[in-house]
Amino acid sequence: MAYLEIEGLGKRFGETDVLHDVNLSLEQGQILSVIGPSGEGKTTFLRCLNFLETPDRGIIRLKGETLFDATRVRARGQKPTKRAFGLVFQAFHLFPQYTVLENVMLAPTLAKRGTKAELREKALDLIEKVGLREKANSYPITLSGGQQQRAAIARALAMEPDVLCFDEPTSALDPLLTKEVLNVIRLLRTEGRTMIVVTHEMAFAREASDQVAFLSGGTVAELGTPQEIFEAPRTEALQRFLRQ
Amino acid sequence: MLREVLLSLLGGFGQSLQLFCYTLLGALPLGLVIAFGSMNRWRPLREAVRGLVWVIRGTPLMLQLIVVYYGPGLLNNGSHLWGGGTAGRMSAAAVAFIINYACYFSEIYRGGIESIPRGQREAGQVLGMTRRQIFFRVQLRQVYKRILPPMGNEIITLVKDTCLARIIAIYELTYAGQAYIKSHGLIWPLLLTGVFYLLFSGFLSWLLRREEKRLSYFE
Repeated sequence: MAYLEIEGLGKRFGETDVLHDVNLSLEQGQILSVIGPSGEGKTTFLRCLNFLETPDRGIIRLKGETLFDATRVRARGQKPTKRAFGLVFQAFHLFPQYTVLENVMLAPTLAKRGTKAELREKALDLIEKVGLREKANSYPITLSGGQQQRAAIARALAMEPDVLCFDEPTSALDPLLTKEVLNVIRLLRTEGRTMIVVTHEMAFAREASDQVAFLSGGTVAELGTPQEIFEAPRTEALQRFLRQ
Repeated sequence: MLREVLLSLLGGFGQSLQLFCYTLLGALPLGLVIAFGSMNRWRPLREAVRGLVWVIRGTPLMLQLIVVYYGPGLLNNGSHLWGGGTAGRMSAAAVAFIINYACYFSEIYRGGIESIPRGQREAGQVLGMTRRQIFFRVQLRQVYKRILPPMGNEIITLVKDTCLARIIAIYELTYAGQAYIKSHGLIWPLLLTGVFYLLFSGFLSWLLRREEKRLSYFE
């Protein structure tokens, strides 16, 4: 049994099937990159995993435990309480009125994950890890896009998610800043974090992932190792996508 | 004479200031309640609240004052809900002002809340925060910063609106000034009330600017 198992995940918006029959599994410590054309379900897939959208169909299992089962969620608005996933957004969404340190500490403090001193120390460790030690007491407005995104990664890590998801984490950044964010993700990989990265950075997907999923038309059109996906694409859709 | 006029105007200003403070104390929280009502998911409630806001914003405050002060007596055979005397009149005026200003405030709150990017709420959600925590710890301060300028406008308007209370014989600042026309044939005491209004609204503007500056460290 895999660490994370996703079976038959589906989501409709009105008449449109944005996501259908998505099946994926991931071992602990692996990175799954999700690539594919814009508007074909990548972001919706991550939003479903993080329960920003409630999937209409499918099952999500983590460590053998069912986190979500669409057939059992009947009452409107009922959502799983367990936070197994963390999400880093394309546009960062840091809380502007708080410093980097306060951003990182807020959620664990509210969730009473420890004493103030413990949480502060933990937060500072995470901030150090993403290379923002000198910026711990700065406000988001004073940071570059890359620094903001690294702060957002530290904030997501503070809740100790089992699986950390990234939604096009570098799409709003220029190449230099993109590099510093991707380096943080690489560092997390060496620590054995399980991650799902939706990305347009093909070089990164190729070099840093264990698995690559090509999402097209709302479903996993092709799944394989980076070598299989990038060197021997089977479907025409993927071949066309890679040529662009 | 100047001394006597000043003392009398100060008395009137005291009444105006009282009404100003009651209105803010009541309307600031009530406005938030009305704002949530007008954004409620349950349609009948939302429509009812929006109807109320429409009526209150669509009719003169002076008319509302008269209705609130005299209305209960008319319905109830002349017996007086507000009691006689200055205290009764002030209570009626405060109720009318609070309802009126809460409706204006509610629209400012609603605009402020709806202007906060959705990503702020979602960032809180994926960090496992509750709706209440997201509102109080993430959104409220951003809303506060955004609504400060329009709120400042309303508050300055309120300073001058207090003079409407004279319609139910509250001896506020303008009334106190005007009284000298009748009793002494003097116009300058009435003109002098303008200085009181100016000084007070000037002080409030200064406070508001200072508050805006304090919040300028984030966008």
